[in-house]
Order: sequence, then C-alpha cells, then structure tokens
Amino acid sequence: MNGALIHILIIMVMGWGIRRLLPSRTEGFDTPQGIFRGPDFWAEAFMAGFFAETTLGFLLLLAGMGLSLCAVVMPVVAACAACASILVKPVRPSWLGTDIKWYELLLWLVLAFKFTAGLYGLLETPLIFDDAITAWAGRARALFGGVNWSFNPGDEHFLGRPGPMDYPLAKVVFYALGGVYNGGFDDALVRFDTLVFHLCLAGVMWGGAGAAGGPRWVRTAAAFAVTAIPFNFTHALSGYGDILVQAYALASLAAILKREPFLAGLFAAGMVFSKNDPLVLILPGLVLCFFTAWFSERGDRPDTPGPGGFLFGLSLAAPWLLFLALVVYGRTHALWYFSALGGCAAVLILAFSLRNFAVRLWEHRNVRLAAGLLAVSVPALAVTVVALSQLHRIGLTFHPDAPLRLAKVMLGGQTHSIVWLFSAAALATGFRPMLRDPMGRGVLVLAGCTTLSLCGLFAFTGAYAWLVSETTVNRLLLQFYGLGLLGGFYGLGLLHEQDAGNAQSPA
Amino acid sequence: MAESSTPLCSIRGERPAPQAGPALVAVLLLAVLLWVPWTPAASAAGPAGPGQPQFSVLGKNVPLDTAILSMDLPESGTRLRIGWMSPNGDWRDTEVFSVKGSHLYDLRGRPGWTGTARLVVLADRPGVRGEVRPPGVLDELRLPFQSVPYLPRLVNLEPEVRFLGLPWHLWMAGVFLLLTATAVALRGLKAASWALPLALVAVLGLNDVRGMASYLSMVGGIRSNAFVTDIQRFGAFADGLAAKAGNRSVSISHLPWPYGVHLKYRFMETPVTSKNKADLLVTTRNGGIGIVPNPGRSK
Repeated sequence: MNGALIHILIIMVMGWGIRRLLPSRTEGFDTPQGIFRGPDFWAEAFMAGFFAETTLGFLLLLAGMGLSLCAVVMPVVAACAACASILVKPVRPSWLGTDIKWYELLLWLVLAFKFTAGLYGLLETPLIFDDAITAWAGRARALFGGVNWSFNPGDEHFLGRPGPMDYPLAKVVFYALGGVYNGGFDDALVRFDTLVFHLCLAGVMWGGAGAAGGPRWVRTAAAFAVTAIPFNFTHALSGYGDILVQAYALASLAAILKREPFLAGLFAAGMVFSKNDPLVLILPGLVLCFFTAWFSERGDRPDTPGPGGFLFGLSLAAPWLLFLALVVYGRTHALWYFSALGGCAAVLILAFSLRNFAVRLWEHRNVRLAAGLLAVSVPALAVTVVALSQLHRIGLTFHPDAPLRLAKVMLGGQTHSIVWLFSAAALATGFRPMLRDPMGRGVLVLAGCTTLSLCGLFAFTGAYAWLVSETTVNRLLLQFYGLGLLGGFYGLGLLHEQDAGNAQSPA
Repeated sequence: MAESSTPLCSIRGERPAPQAGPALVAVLLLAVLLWVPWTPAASAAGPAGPGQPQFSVLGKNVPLDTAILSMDLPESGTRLRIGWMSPNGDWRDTEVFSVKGSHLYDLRGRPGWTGTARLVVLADRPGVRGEVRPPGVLDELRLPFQSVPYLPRLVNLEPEVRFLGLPWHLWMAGVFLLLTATAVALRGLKAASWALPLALVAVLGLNDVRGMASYLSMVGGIRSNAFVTDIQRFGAFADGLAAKAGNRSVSISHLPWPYGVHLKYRFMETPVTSKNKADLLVTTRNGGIGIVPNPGRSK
C-alpha cells in the first residue's frame, strides 16, 4: 500500500499545482491563497491531478514511451506544476481557515472513520467484482505486465482486450502506474482510487451546495449525505468506474454553479475519460445546463464568464475521444462520424445564432470563444460515435413500460430510493426560485435532460434488459446521485436566500 | 513432444498430486462451481441412505407471515435453499446466502412465505441447527445490523434489509416524510428549506450507522465466507501457476465463472497467446487444473 500512498501524493501535488494555476473565482473557507483551503479545493485538486496524470500517461504511452519512464515523468511534472503555482501565487499558509463549526469537525471525523474502515475493507476483501477484474484491473495488469497489451487495433491484445473496448483508459493508466510505484500489481491497490473518490464526493458537494448561499450547515449536510448513501460506500471499495463518473459529474455541475467555466469543462472531460456511459447520458445535459445558465445570466451580468473556458476545458477529452473514433471504432467509419459531427456543429451554430451569439463572436474578445466553438465538435463527435456504437451493440427496440419500471427501480428499493425522494421533494420545493435564477434554470434543464436520456436509453434500446434484471441500471443510477442531490440542495439554498431576502426587505 | 499425463501442479498444492488427486480435485472443484438445483420432492422423499437425511428440519406447523428463520452455520457465502410445505401439500422454496454463526434470515415478504407451513426444511444440509419462529424485540433490533455475505452481486444491488417485517427503505422514506411533514405543518411551507436537509441527514445518518455496523461485521467475517475463501485459495493457486510459467507463453483453457476470469487476471503479466503458439497450456484436462507443455508446439 506504500506505493498507493506515494501515487496519491504525486497526484495531489500535481493537482494542487494545477488547481492553483487555474483561474478561480471562489475559494474555500475564505482563505484566498492558503495551504488549507476548503475541502472542495482539495477534492478538485485530486480530481484535476488524476485527470492530468492519466491523460498525460495515455498520451505518453500512445507515443511509445515505456510505463516505467512514464512513472518517472509524473513526479517531475507534479513538481513543476507545484513550483510554477508557487511562483505565480505565493503560498500564505492559513491552516484551517477562519473558523470551523462543530458540525464541520464532526463531518471530518465521520469521513476519517469511513476512510479507515474502507482501508480495512480493501486490505481484507479480495477482488471479486466482474468489471473491476476484467475491464479495469485486468487491462491495467496487462499494461503493467507489458506483454498482453497493444495500441494496435489489429492486435489480439489491443488495449488488453478483456472488457468493452470503449471503456476509457483513465483507471487503467492509473492502476498500471500505481503498480510501478508499488513495485508490483496488488489487488487492494486497484480499488484505492474509488475510496479516494468517495472522499472527493464530499469535498465537491461541499463547494457546490454552498454556491446558492444559505447557512453553512446545509452544505455540510449535503457533503455528509452524498457519502452516506450506502451504495456509494459499496462502490468506494469496488474498483468500478461509476463512482468516478459521479464525482466528476458532480464536480462539473458544482463548478458551473460556482461560475467557474474552465473547471466545469475540465471535470466534464474527466468524466468522459472515466467511463463510456456519461458521454451519452450526462454530458449533453451538462453542456445544455452550462449554456442555459450562461445565456440566462449574461443579460444581467455582462462580466459573466463566457463559454470559451468551458469548451476549452471540455476539449481536453479530445485525445481519448479522437483515439476512440479513429482507432477503436476504426477509420472505415470515421468519415461517417465526421459527417454526423458536421451536422451537430451546424445545429449548435444555428442555436447560438438565435441568441445573437454569432454577432458577438466577432465583436468581442473571444479568440477563446472561437476556439471553443471548434472544441464543441469534440463532445458532438464523441456523443455521436458512442451513441451509434452503443446502439449498434445493444440494438434498437421499443419498450413502452420502461419509464414505469425505471421509476419502480428508483423509488422501490433499498439501493437508492431516499436519494430520489429527497431530490424530487427539494426540486419541487425550490422550483419557483430556481426558475428565477440563471443557474437554477440550468439545473432544471440538466434534470430534464438526464431524465429524458435515461428513459430514452431504456425505452428505445436493448439496455432494457439491464432494467429488467435490476443490475446495471443501479450502477447507472449511481452516476446521477451527486447531480440529484446537488440539484436539490441548490434549490433549497435559493429558497433560504429568498427567505433571508424577504426577512431583510423593508415592510 | 509427448503429451504429459500429469499436471505440474494442482489446486490443492504446489507438489504434483498423487494419482487419485486429480480426480478428487476435479470433483471438489466441480462441487464448488456447479449448483445442483434442489427439488422439494426429492428432499421430501426422505433419506438418501440409511439414517442420512438430505435436509434439516427447521420447523413444523408454523405460521409463516410473522416468522423469521434462525440458523447456525459454519461458513458464509454459500447458496442455501429453504423449502416449505403448505397445508395442502404444495412445496415452495426460496434461496438465501449463508452467514457464519447464529444468524437471522428474514424471509417475510418473499413470494409464498405466508399461511401455515406443515414443514420447513433446509435442503442438502443435514444436521444444521435452526428454527422458524416469531421474532422477539431483540431479534427485530438485531436484524438490520447483521452482516451480509460478501458477494459479487453487492456491486449491483444493496441487499434488502427488513425491520419489524417491513423493508428498511420504507422506514427511511417514512421517517423522512414524517419529519418533513411535521416541520411543514408546524412552520409552514418555507420550513421545507431546512426540514428537508435535516430529515435527509437524520435518515441517512441512522442508515449509515446500520450500514457501517453491517459492513464491519461482514469484513470481520470475510475468512468464513466460503465463496471468498475459495476465490482467495484459487487466486493463490493461480499465482503459483503464473510463477511457474515464468516468461514462457501460455494458452489458457476455459473455466466456469468466476474462476476463468480470475485465472486470466492472474496471467495478464504472462504472455498469453493462442494454443498453437503457446509454450505451455493451462489446462483442466486429466482431471485437474495444471500447467503442461504444449504438445502441438513442436509441430
């Protein structure tokens, strides 16, 4: 496990440097440049570091560099990022921040206990979960061993073969590098990331739930709630990719709510590099959420950060997505995909034009925006590619009873009924203030879009079988926990602010 | 090269197995891997041999609607089948996973677990101590906090837990709605902005205490989980096979899930190739699992 800790440390240093270098409008615990910022800062730092390390590792491996050399490069990059951030923004330690409430301290204690219990579980339990063995750890072991791995799609060992080929390589690269730092491949090691991501859920939720305002205990409650969902803790020890998707999707929405577009795009890219499902199920909703919020807000606040940062962050998923389109699915279909991409881009440009966007594009500062418009082609391409390939794989069929079955799975079992009950109640309660708030409108669009995509997936494709067997559907729903809870807490936060405003306004 | 008739190692150890070993190993392996469906009629027919019943009787003439099952078993994680006979002689059955030691199994709400049963039995496991009885207060309090078996299905579905005969999630939803409704009734609709988070934290906090207790109990008993210990033993065995292969290329034959998956996983750091190119074969031939030189390699 020492290797795992060293690996986490490298990622934290890298992420700390990157996170400090990124443009940021909000800081945790009101300590703008301290070492110990809010938990959201540390969670974001880890997740940014994880994405940076695995993407860089993927590119270096693709370029032909050996895994051992990659493992040497990573600490160097981490040190460079940290030094650069210190040079750009001098560190002024402020330790634990201004003040800590008792309930925040309690949350830290609970998280520490869970992390310790999780470590105990990792060391005691064997790896028995199917996808973890085949798709993630198995392929990582092949990459680590270096004998059953190839980037050539014609090779029998292409990407280590076991598991679907469109599963991204973030976890695979992470585990393989972890094996190098550890001096050997280890079954406990290959589930360590999900345990850390479980903690990250609390951090990013803490930041996101505070975006609407409201009392501090509410954001603490939100952070606790997301880690207390029983299925989340199970997945914290599973080695699956679903909890990574949940964490990145949550971080992306939290960044949108905090008006940090680059971070939102970066975490959306991290989500795309974590598993294949969210490209179709979550990413379209997040993109629409961002643009809804931006279009709604820019009229009132001209200084609203533009979409260039968001799209630029999102475009960092390009290496994997291009690899997916051109190598995994093959050049024979690429032209078709690019034609579809052209169609998607045309629709997007038309949509922008309707809001006078095209005029502003040329009037304004936005070289970034122009680059962003190009970058929008990346998610469009990706969604098209994955949607088509998935449809080809699971088939098109119509199941009219799917929405009702889905509702039964969501509300009728031990696995996650309380999450959806709370989210529905909170969204209903906060619906009116959300309609008046730009970010609130974005959240409502996201809720509608993801609901439609889930219903569509089960109603119109062979994925219906997953719904009937009540297996994979639960893991898919787990990817939405963070979004559901944060959406609900955001609505309640707006309600708090509205009540506080009413109380202060003169009679 | 002539085909070797003896595997280089077997699942039971590092040394070559004796002549009778491979057959025994195969039988043991198959016994673990294969589930032979139990038929009530067969069990009810009585003993398989003189004085050797195939089942354990857990209760006679018991009302099932409010009854739970208590059993004392030596291991966790094995599939058990509980059968019961209705007054008109029809047999019903259901499945549970064993948990080591004295454990309560709540079958309330399962299809057919209703009315009065003339006979309740545990199939294929003679000599197990257990009874079907109405739960006491302590039993009801103990039920939600008990250990659950560590099984692959955990990653897809949380095990259902019951309290006072009702599913635990209904209690959670009920308490959540009750707390929220009370706050709204006393303080108006605006109270929902603080009542909803408080109710959520209260319900999830309580559930978290239950879940962590159950989880720690599960991890604590992991070595008594038959499925897990079998996987661990098989994993260690497969590691030994992979070490024997060294840098030579191997071809892996198929084993049933999950052993086939684990075998491939252990060999991912060894050159794995098709049978006609491999130096060695990991094979289940000759009644055992082992690693043998590839007889077709020299052709």
